[in-house]
Amino acid sequence: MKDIKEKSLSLIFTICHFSSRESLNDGCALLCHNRGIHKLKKMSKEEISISIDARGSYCPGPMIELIKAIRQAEVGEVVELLSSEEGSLSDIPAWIEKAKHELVAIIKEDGYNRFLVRKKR
Amino acid sequence: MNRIIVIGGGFSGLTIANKLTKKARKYDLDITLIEPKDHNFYEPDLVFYAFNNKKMSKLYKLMHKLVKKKVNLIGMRAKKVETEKKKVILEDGTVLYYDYLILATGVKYIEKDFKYSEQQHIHNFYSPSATEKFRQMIKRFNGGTIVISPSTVPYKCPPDSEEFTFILDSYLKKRKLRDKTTIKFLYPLSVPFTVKEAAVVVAEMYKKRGIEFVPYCNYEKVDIKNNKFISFEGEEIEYDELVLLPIHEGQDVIKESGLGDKEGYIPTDKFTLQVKGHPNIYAIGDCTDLLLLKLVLFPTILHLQS
Ligand SMILES: Cc1cc2nc3c(=O)[nH]c(=O)nc-3n(C[C@H](O)[C@H](O)[C@H](O)COP(=O)(O)OP(=O)(O)OC[C@H]3O[C@@H](n4cnc5c(N)ncnc54)[C@H](O)[C@@H]3O)c2cc1C
Repeated sequence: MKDIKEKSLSLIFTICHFSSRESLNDGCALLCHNRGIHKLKKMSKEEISISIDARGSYCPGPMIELIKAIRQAEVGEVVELLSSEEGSLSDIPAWIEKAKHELVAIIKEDGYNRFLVRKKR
Repeated sequence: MNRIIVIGGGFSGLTIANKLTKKARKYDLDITLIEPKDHNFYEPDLVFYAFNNKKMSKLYKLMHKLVKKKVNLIGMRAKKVETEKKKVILEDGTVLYYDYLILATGVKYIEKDFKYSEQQHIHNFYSPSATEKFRQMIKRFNGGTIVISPSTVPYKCPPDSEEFTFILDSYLKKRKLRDKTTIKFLYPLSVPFTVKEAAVVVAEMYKKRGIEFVPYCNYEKVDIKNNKFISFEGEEIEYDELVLLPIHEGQDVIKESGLGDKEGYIPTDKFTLQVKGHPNIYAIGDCTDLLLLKLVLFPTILHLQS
C-alpha cells in the first residue's frame, strides 16, 4: 500500500513536470499540504543513498553533479539533488528520460527543488 | 621575510609568480616557483594547429626565459604538501618551508580502460602529440563519419570543441569532402554549449552547416573493435574517426596532500581564491573546483567581449 502511494505520488510529480513548469509549481504547492508528500519526504530521506546539495550552483552545475552521483550509485539506489537553478526543472527530467532512470519526485522546497532519482540500469 | 611557494608553472603559476615580484621589496617576499617542465606550452593554438602545417615548436617557450629574475625556479615535481608543518616535499626528498603557498597545478588527463593515444582512429587536440596524430589522419581522410565528443564536463576550455567542429567543417568544404562526410557533435548537456543563450546560436549554425548534434551524451566507453562510442545514457554511435577529449582530474600531489575533492580539484573561495579551511594557501587556474564556474563565466565573458 505504502509502495503504491509512493508510486502514484511520484507519477503526479512527474506528470506535473511534463505538463508545464507553472503547473509543476502549482502542483507542488498544493501537494506540499498533502499528508502524502510529508510521508514521501520522510520516507525518501531514509532511502536516499547519495545526497547532493547543488543550491546556488549555476547551470549546468546541478545537472553535472547529478550525472556524477548516478555514476557512483548502485542500480536501485536513490540519489537526492537539491537545486535552486531554474533550468534544472526542464534539463534534469529530460536527461533522466534519455538515460532511462526513474524520476521518483520533484519536491518544491523554500527557494529550491528536491529531485529524487532512482538509478535503473 | 615572507616565503611564498608557487607549485606549477603553467599560465596561472607563472603569471602569479612574476606579478608577485613587483611587491617583493615592499612586502619582503622570497618567491619560489616549482615546475618540472623546462618549457611552457601555448595550448590554445592547438585547435588551429590541428588543421595547418606550422611547426609545433613555435608553441614552446623556455621556462627560464619567462620567469623573472627575482623568482627562484626549481625544476622539479612537488610530491606532497604537509599543511600543518607548512612544508612542501619535492620528488627527490628536498623539503621547502613556506609562509604562503599558491597551488597552480592544473589538471591531469586520465585514460580510462585503454591508451587512447595508441588507437589509430581515436584523436584529440589537447596535446602536441595527439594534435600531430590528428593532423596526419585528416590529411589522408577521404570521407566518412567524424564524431566529436568532449567526453564529459567539466573540461578545460568550454568553447574549443565547438570551435574545432566549425573549423573541421570549413576545412572539409575546402577539400571538397564535406558531402562525403558526416560530422556528429556529442555533448553532455541538452544544448551544444554551456551557456544557453550562446548555445542557441551554435545549434542554429550546426543545423545550417549540416552538423548533427546529439544531446545528453556523456562518455562511458569505446567499443574499439566495432568503432562505436558508447554513452553513459546508453546510446551507441558509430564513427570512422573519433575526436574524444580526455577526461580531466586534479593532480596527484593535491590528492595525496588531502587538499582536493574526490576528483582532486581544490575547494577554493571564488572571491578570494583562498583554499577553503587553509588561510595561508591559495589556488588558481584549472586546479581549483572553480573549473565548473569557468564553464559558465568564461564563455559568458568571451560572449560579452565579442
Ligand atoms: C586546445 C585548448 C584550447 C584552449 N583555448 C583557450 C582559450 O582560447 N582561452 C583560454 O583562456 N583558455 C584556453 N584553454 C585553457 C587554458 O589553456 C588552461 O585553462 C590553462 O592552461 C590553465 O593554466 P594553469 O596554469 O591553471 O594550468 P596548466 O597550464 O595545466 O599548468 C599547470 C602546471 O603545473 C605543473 N604541475 C603539475 N603537477 C605538479 C607538481 N606536482 N609539482 C610541480 N608542478 C606541477 C604542470 O607541469 C604544469 O606546467 C585551452 C586549452 C586547450 C587544451
